Amino acid sequence: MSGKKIVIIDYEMGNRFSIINSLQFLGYAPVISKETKEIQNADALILPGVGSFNDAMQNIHSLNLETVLQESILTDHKPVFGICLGMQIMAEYGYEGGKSKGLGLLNAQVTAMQKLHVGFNSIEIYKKKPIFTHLEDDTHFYFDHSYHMECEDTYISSKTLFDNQLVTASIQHNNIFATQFHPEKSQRSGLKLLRNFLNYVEQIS
Amino acid sequence: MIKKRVIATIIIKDGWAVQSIGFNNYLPVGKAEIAAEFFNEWGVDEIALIDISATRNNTLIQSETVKKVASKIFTPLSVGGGIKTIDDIRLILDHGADKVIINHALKKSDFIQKAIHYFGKQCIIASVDAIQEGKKYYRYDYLTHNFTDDLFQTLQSIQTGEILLNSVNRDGMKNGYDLELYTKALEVTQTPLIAMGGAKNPYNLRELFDKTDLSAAAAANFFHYYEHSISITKALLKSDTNRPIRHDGLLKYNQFEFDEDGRIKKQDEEELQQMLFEHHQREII
Repeated sequence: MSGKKIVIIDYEMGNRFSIINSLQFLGYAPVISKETKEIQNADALILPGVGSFNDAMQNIHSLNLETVLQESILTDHKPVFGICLGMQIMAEYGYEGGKSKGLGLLNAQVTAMQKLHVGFNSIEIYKKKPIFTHLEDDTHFYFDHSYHMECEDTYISSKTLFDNQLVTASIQHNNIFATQFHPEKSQRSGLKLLRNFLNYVEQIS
Repeated sequence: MIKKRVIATIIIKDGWAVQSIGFNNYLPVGKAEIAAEFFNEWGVDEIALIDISATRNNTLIQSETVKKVASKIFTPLSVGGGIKTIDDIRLILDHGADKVIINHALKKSDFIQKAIHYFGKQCIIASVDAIQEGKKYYRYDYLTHNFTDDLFQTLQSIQTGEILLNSVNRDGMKNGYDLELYTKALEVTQTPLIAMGGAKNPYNLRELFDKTDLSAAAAANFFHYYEHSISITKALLKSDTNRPIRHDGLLKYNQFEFDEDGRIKKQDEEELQQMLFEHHQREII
């Protein structure tokens, strides 16, 4: 059991159960919280989320989470891992449920896709270290989304091909890590990826 | 490239996982969470957990069962059984489900609209039972056994993220998927469809993927019949041509041959002897 304090941000969007289950499997005891103090004391943050961009940001605002998240991530440089909608709300803007402002952690915007992208898809990796260590191109991860992140290529650590279009599959920028896919739903490959992130947290803090 | 999905369905009746035959006969399998743990280990793409007694008994699938199953797997979990309110959905999601499957409550269109608004389209799967009578397909109501609504009109009106389309005529009959049904259904709806009903062996999934554009096939009964059923199914789907199937689990079955039921043929004695001395290290993540 690791002593590192991993805090899963509770902003009341979607399934937190499986991310807790995965982290427990990997030997961690994550805390789910929306308290400023807990977030400030964390060694690393996980931003999960399923649902719509607009609803997510409304919850972030009503729970007063915006400032503490921005400070912890941009000023204190805490490692953060966003999953699916948790990645999308890191952007400047999102267009799901009307145009709304995101957390603004990344210079990016989230726009609609033509079709629902659901199922296991293979990825092409651009930045191997740290989170894709021991994972090769064409590894499969589970996607389930109908909006995607548009941003500069320098942020992108992997892409996937869907509907004849290259879609941002994951992000890596300084201490910010995020995946459009669900590592907690991607069996061994997903667990390996989470292990890589946790190893990174162990090394830097 | 996006892969076709092989989905294992676990049917629950009165608290036990069962095999269902013709929507009216049931054989016990055991505990749902044990079946789920094996399916996950064997590399299934998704698991659907459906309590078929819930609506009939006017209850909701036991949230404890959902939690037990969810804690054993690292793969997407869809759950159905008596879900008819927003609170039901929230409870099921809080116990580890990723999506909910709604059959009977589809008729309450304001509830469905709300559910889509709160949880997103991708979270809601419509489950529709199709019955063929003569040349026509109808939507079957498993409570009243009535069928009057035209199936394809029903499919067109559905706004959820996915549709699980069950064939009542094929349920447990082991005569393969109803290819005509799925071909016609694909013509009338853009919503991703999941085929279910009639799969006897991996060849039926192969036929479905080769002859229709369906992206997902679900089966329940036959996956319970033998060890490593999912891994072997995927190996068979990859054996003659490189179909878009995810087959990266630890159990490969790459060099094996298959019999007419899609099971692996016995290896020759020499090879079996050699396998006895192979050392497989346990993978540590």
